[in-house]
Amino acid sequence: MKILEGISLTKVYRSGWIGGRKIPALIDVTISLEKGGSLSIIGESGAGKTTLAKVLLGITTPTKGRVIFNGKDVTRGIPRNLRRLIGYIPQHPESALDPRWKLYDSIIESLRIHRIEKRREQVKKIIERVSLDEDVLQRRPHEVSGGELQRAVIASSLIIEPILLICDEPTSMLDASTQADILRLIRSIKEDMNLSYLFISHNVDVASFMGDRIGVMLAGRLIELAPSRELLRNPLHPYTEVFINRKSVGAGESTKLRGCPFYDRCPHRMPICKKKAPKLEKLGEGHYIACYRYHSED
Amino acid sequence: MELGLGFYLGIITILTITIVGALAPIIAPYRPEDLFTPLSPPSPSHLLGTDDVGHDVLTHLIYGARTSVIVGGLTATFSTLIGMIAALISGYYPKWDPLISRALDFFLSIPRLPLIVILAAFLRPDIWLVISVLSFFGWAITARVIRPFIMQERSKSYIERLKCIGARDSYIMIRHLLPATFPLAAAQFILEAGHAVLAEASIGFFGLEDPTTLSWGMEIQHSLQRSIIFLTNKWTWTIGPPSVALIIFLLGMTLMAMDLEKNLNPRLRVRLW
Amino acid sequence: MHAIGTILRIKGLSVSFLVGRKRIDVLDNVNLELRKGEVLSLVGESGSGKSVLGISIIRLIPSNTSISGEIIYKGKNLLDLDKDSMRKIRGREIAWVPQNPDTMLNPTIRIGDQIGEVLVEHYGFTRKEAWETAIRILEDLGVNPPDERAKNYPHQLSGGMKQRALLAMGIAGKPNVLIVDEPTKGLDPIMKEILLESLKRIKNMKDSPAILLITHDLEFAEKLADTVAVMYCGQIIEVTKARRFFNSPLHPYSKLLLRALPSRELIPIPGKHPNIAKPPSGCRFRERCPYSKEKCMNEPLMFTLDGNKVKCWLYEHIRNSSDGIIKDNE
Repeated sequence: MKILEGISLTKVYRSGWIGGRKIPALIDVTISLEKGGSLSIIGESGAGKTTLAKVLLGITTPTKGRVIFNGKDVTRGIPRNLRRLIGYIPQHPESALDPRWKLYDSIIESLRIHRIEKRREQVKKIIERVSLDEDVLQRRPHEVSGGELQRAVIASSLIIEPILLICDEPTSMLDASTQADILRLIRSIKEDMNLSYLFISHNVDVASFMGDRIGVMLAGRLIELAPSRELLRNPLHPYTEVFINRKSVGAGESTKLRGCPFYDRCPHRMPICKKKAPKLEKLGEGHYIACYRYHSED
Repeated sequence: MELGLGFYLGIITILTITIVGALAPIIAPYRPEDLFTPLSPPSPSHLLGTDDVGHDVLTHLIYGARTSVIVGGLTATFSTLIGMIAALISGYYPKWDPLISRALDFFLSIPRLPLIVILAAFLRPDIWLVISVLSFFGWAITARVIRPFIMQERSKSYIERLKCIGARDSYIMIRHLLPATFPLAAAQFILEAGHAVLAEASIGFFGLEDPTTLSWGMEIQHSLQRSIIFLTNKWTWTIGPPSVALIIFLLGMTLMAMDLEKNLNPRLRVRLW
Repeated sequence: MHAIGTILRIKGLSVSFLVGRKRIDVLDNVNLELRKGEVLSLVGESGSGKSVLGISIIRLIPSNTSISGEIIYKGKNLLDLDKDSMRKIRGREIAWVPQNPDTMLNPTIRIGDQIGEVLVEHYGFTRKEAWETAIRILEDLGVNPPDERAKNYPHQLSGGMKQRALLAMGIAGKPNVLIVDEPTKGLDPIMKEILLESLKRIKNMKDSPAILLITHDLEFAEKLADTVAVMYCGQIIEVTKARRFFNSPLHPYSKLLLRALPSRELIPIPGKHPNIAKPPSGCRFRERCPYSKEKCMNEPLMFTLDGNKVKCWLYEHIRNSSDGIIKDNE
């Protein structure tokens, strides 16, 4: 059963008030997440990863497309009773909690919002699970380390027992050891609590560690989607290959409404690539790709 | 939080003047309308002497404090409240921001004191008019200071996280954003109060205020109108006390506002690493 | 003992911050040498004090700091210099590339003018000459197209480009030493690659400066460093040739740190980095170390092994080998 589906999601931002420039941040992205599954999204900054997360979280309404969470269409916003089933772990732990609040208050906040009692036991259980010291709870965000802060953020997301977690590069600002710690924590919690998660990252190794499948985004489009091991062993899209092997792709703008976003930098480009962007199509078992090298125009 | 000497000096001054003003009928030695020998020097029965009409200077000083505190306090309360609400809406809902921003520009472009002077040509401005005009045009200053702070705070990811767990906008504003503005609003409140006290004194000084009002500005103005007193040294006890009181009050508020801004605003706080 | 080609030598550097009445020792007896044309990467976790070392060298330390030891550059101790002589050294002899491009670039001035600033300031260039030089420097760094970028204001640039603009500002004064503080913070892999390319170009320049690369990004350091120095809780605990370090580092901490990388095993180091205000006695890594023994209650000496240095009792047995030992404070 699918827990989360995004169908043909498109988000266009407008700059200026009337008749301003249109900036596409997300173009026709379709993804789905199975119950108990995990999906990683990789891509460079500005690829639309965070916009995708925001649309799926219901913070941003998509210009086109639909979001289906747990069988219900939530495109126009997620109702409050479903909200408690979704946890969100943002990128910068230092701004993910109110700087004036003690960690304890921030952690129990979601219980307060949803008027759930038994706070003390819940907190005790959850901080034990994320291995946070009890005395840290009485401090404020600027008084604790990045790792402790991220644990507190995770605790505050998990305390309402969600079934879906959306993590937006939660460890990119942390030290190597702390990062390893937090990643393993999220993975093991997934198993214990029977969670599903969407994990956004710009590090291929982290993405493959965290997700059963990896989706690659470029300039607002999903250009390749495959099981993690398969993608690492056999990347098909020229951009994915470059990204995984950490080669330099050179400069070049990539956001364009028409044509393949990688056209300017692609070594295999063809005339068709400039005219029309390729659609994401199935190639092998669970392997999807948007590139004319692997399928024709229609 | 480390509040400095300035804050404590300021708060003591403000509290003293407020209490004196509030208890005026009890602690003033005479009633404000009582008449004695004009221009008598300080003596045990008139600690600060009497003015040219024969009023006890100390009594008028104490009742004047009352006016200053009312004008300062009410103006600051109204303009801070309206300003905070406007800033919250404009900073939190980008949709409303253009409208509120234009309104701010409009209100900020109108000089308040000259406006009162013009209004004085048609109305006899009592302190209520002064308070209304100052607050009606003063909230924009507070709003302008707080709005960018709200915008900055709103862009932090904890706001998004709260929305995700199902917090209502009103909850986010009341529990998170509003308390975040308190340090700035407190400093702004005091500055606005000081501004109002000074504006009220100026109106009194120009002689535009209702003559039955007892205020420090009016006292100074009265004394200055009798220029004859400058031939003697008697001006020192008619102009001196209200001027000094005004300066002390304003200085107290400024000290407090400066210290608050420096210490309560987390952005100005120095972090080690 | 004076190594050949040493350009900057830090001897027994200790730095303490005074916070209220408390005294926090941020750097404890740091010894480090930077050789001509070499990239020395200073790695460590946040809170280990590595950035403080960078700003201590150019003396941009806050006023509540006490500093002792020697930082020897061209035979002079930088810590003895007065403000004016120090100002002359900053930028043209020793340049510092700060870690936060957003706050370190002036938003109202074009990139090209900001890069040329040091030339106008220190070398008496005219604005036009400085502008042209700035474009040439951007070109040298692989910026494309350099003249377009020079005309941009900071907000028009991407994170990686801003970081490269800061690098250009750093090398504009042709310094002998370039201190680069956390250049990869918040950059995605593509930007890191571009930045790496620029740094490599600097390294291959004629009369290239010695680079002190301060970073917590070991994967980035691996591609650039000649030597790696590891900082832990205010102390240098290992100085090793890069190739050796990334294959088989000496200190247990380094071994565990490498194992935590996403490209390796992603296994975290047990325990947490001690608070620098309350460092453990003896070896500071003792409580997290799998090899910890009784001897570790005493502070380890700095042992030398094949020209590499390590501050760990595990290497005590080589005391009598041909390498001998060097004590920290010799």
